[in-house]
Amino acid sequence: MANARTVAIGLSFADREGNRAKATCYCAFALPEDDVWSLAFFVADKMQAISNGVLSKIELVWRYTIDDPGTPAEESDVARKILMLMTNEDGEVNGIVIPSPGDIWETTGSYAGIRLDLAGAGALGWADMLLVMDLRTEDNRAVGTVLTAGGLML
Amino acid sequence: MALALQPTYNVTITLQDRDWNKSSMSLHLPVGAALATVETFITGTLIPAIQGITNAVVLSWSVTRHAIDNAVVADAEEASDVERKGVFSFRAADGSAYVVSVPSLINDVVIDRTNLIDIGDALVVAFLDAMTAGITGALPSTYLASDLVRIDHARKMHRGSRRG
Repeated sequence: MANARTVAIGLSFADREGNRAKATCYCAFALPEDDVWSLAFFVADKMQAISNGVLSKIELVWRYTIDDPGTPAEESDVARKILMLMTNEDGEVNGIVIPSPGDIWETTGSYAGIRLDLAGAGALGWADMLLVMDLRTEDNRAVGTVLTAGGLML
Repeated sequence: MALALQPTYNVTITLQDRDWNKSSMSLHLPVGAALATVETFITGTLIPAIQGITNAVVLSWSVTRHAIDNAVVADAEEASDVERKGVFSFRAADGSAYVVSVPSLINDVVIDRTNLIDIGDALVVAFLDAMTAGITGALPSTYLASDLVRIDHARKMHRGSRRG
């Protein structure tokens, strides 16, 4: 794995008509997150003083690349996707979409070829991952630790 | 500013298939975990779990965090226009140029009868100092991590923006 040399700091301004534009700055990747936020707010404050737009968003982005990603399978196709469904403690069902599902389907029954085999290695690995880190939704609810189902998105 | 730090990291993972088509997936992680912990989880657990599902390959990933104030648009001045930009060209320590555009530049810092920004104006000086000196322990740089050392030129220009 390699990381970018810098953290990207995006400072988005809005005008009265709701149009938005972003100014982008960078700083050293090794800086602690708190220091990056301090720098971002400091620069944003100085930009705001010479702008009559309003600062609407600050975005920090850390980027990484895989050194040797390997070769995709012959049949791989990112246009095909699987929807993984997880259930949280409140009984809510949340989904995560993964492109180019491999050979992970049920092989018998009405849903052969389109429903995730929950006893397969791929599903079990995903289920194990759910127990390691508390995945969240965009509004910070728990995604869930139980893999309920997975299906081919049509 | 009433920006609110969002409580999650947004993780975006980019995959590539045999025909070099790319697609991304995203999920959110709690901010309570330190960034280093997030990195370790992504490389050691999440990506292997994804590779167990997909037959594409993971090319890259990013971690994003936001501070947002969505109610702020109503506070913008009537004359504000993000397409009117202050375009500042800095020189970096490695000799490269770095340009940053400040949206909706106020007219007060533009020299009359020109499109030049007054780099002696106190507010502009404060901005230039922020970009070249930063704060203790944190310094703005180019994308390739070269420190910004001086301003080369600064002009008001009109450029398109993302529509609201």
